[in-house]
Amino acid sequence: MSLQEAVKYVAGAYGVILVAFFASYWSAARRLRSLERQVRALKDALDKREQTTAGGEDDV
Amino acid sequence: MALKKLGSPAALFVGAAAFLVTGLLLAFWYAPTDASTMGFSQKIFYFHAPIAECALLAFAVAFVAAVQYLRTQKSVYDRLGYVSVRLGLLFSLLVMATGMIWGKAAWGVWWAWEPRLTTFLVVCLLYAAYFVLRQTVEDETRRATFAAVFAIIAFVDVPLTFFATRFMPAGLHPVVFTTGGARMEGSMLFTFCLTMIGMTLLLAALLRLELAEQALKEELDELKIRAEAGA
Repeated sequence: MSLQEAVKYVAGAYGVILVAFFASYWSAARRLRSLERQVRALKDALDKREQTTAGGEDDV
Repeated sequence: MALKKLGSPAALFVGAAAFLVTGLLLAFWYAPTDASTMGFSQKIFYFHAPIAECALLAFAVAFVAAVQYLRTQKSVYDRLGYVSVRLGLLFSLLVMATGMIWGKAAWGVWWAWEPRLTTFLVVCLLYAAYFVLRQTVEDETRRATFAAVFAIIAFVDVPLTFFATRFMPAGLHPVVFTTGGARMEGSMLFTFCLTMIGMTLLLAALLRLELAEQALKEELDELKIRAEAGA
């Protein structure tokens, strides 16, 4: 096999590796950020509800 | 857990990138071109072999996590087993893809039914079945138990894959690491060691990220239950 042809295969192999790892790290980090946002929003909502309930009980 | 002591996913990723980029540069500008029939295509080895080792390492982690789960019934080990198999499968698919490209360049064929390739394919199929099994069981405890037992059984093929070229040396894969040392030049071995460290750090970074995701999913489910209970 000529060097020029071998270079194509080597570049292809390294291309596959880079794309796969970059995509998996990026997508995992994106999912993690989205989950963190959801957890924070739900925690805030629950805290607000608990405060409202506690405030209502104090009024009584 | 021991993984947390390694550092944050971002720090691990930066470390992995440093080792891998250095290894990549050395592979092309320091390590000599292979003098055998493989020639320039042998450059694929510096990432292909570490990815393969890390795939097997991830399955070994899944095996240990499965044993620990069956001993302790702690969900953290089920999560560790799940993400390890997921990453092991990702690394395995990459090994297959890069191996096929290398095979075509070096041997002129995309695929050959030789011991190492065949046992690696069996590993991929076995661990793909792990996810099918998880999907079919609804009860969480039973799912975790079945998955742990399956991960232990599937792991039997991992040492077979590793030692395939040693037990059956007639295949296309050469035996590079022997009890007498590595059959390659010092500069090649040094480059390989760098990429091996980099790939292991990358596996650790991805494991940490995915474990954090699974833990957050569990927390979110608990919060949703709390929200529904209070509604």
